[in-house]
Order: sequence, then C-alpha cells, then structure tokens
Amino acid sequence: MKKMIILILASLLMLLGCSLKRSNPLDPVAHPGLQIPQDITEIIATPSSTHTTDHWVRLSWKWQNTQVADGYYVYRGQSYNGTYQRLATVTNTPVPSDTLSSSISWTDSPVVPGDYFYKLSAFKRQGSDSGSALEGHISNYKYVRVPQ
Amino acid sequence: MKNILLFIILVFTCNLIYAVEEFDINKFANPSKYGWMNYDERKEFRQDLYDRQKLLQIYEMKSQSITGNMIKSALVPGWGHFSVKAYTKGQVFLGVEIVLLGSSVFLYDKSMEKYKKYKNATQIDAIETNYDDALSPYQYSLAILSLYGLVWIYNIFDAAQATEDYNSNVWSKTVKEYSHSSVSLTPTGIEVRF
Repeated sequence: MKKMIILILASLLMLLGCSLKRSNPLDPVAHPGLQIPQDITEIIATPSSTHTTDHWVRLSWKWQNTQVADGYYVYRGQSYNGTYQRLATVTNTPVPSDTLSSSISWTDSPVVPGDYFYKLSAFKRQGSDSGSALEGHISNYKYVRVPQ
Repeated sequence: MKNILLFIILVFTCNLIYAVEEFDINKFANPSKYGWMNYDERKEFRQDLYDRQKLLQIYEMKSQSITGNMIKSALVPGWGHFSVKAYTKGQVFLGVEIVLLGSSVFLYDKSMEKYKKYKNATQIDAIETNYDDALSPYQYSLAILSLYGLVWIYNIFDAAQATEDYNSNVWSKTVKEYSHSSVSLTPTGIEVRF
C-alpha cells in the first residue's frame, strides 16, 4: 500500500513538472521584451451617401506611434458574430509631431449596399525578421449600413 | 626450513589420529537413521520418494512461471492473467488499459493539434487561446497516462499473485488426483507420510 501511495505521488509530481513549452517566438509570456501593439480606439465608419453610383465605407481610427505599431489589419464580416475576413493591411505612416492626435483612415471600395461589420487590429514586426509580426487585440466590431 | 617441514608433518599426523578417533563406524552404518528398520520399510520409503518425485514432475509440467507471466503482462496487460485462466481479470486489465491508453493518445493528439496552431499564431489572443486549449488536454493526457502506468504496474503485480494462486491450486489438484494418500496438503504445508 505504501509503495502504491509513493507511486501515485511520484506520478503526480511528474504531471506537475510537465508543461507545454511556450515555443512561439511571438508569445509575450515567453518573451517579455516583445512590443505589443495597443488596442485600436476611436473607430468611425462612414458609408457613402444615398443615391450614388459608387458605394464605399470609409473607416478612420486613432493613429498609433510607429514605435508601437507598424500597421493595421482591417477585417470585415456580414454579421457581428460571423466569420470575419482580413480585408486589407494598412501601413502605419508617420505623422508630423505637431499632429500626434490625428487619425488614420482607409476606404473599403467598391461595396454593394447592405450591412457590414468591421474590426481592426494593429501589428508590430518583431526584431530583424520582417515576416514575424505580432498582432494586437482585435477591436470590437463596428457596424455600418451602406444605403442604396 | 627443516623445522617448518617437521611441524607441518606433526600437525597433519595429529589431525589424522584425531579424525580416526572421532569417526563412528557404527553410527555411520546404522540403517535406522533413514527411518526404516527392515527391507519392507525401506521399500515403502522408496515408493513414497517415487510418488513425491512423480507429483513434482506433474506439478512442474502444469504450473506456470511467475516471471514469465509477469513479462507477458508487461508486454500485453492481462496476458499473464489469461495464461493462468483468470479470464475476467485479464479482460478487465486489458480493457481498462486500452481505454486509458486510447484516451491519453486521443487527448495528446488533440493537444498537439492546438499546439501547432499556437506555434503558428501571430495574433495575441489566438496565441493565448490556442496555448490554453493545448495545455488542458495535454495535462489530462499526462494524468491518464500516469493512471495507465499505475494500472500497468498493478497488472504485473497481480499477474504474479494470480500465478502463485494458480500454482497453489495446481499443486492441490495434483496431490488430490495422483497421490496414494502418502502426500497431503495441509494448511501449514505439504505433509508426506512414510
């Protein structure tokens, strides 16, 4: 019985000692030095006006410092809880220091009239490897209706 | 040198004399020391001896090796039990081990699928979610594997116990079937009557 208890304890210790290695180079827990992009704020979605031939949606959001974000991903979905597809990658262009509070914008065009849901996130390339970019938190959806 | 040689010869001679004095030829030649007093008793003793040898031979043929059955059970859980006709126990061990190993492999596979997604993820939420999703089944897989190991060890231990019981049963059956009432199984051991 004693041997059995020792075996059980040894197995539990073995279990506690084993964990999955955090091997992702973009994992902030494993690499605390990584720069995590900030959340996107102040998102404004403006649809094209009624009775126009060209339909579009203009998105604008608060600009982030280039030290924090290298660019932004734009996602679009047909419903708020449906699948969102990455639509575009917007490069984060530096702005003059006197206009730090300015926003950045992107236009989704052409679109057919209807309901659209947009989400945004910022990304930051890590280290010298331009291929590995850490994407920050994806924003809440922004609903917009494009009229006929 | 001469003195040493003389001393050795003296010691050897004394030893021989002492040995001759101690040896009792009557005691050595006394036939009663074997438990028989006449030819009939001696014959009976020989018959008993043959009977016992026969029983042992039959027992050795029918009995199972404990080490062998332990190895069998180590290779395939329950195999040792099947060998000693403990079919229910064998089926239980085999079934439990298959279920445990299968569950552990299934969960490990599920965990690795999520872990692969974690390794390829670039979005901060996806990284965390996939890691958590991979970790949980991985720990369950390890826990079940530990349980599998414990059952596996107990299965080997129980195979040894079952083989001992089987051999004991074989001996008692052999004694019942083949003995001419000269050998009997008692609670304290085997009793041989001369």
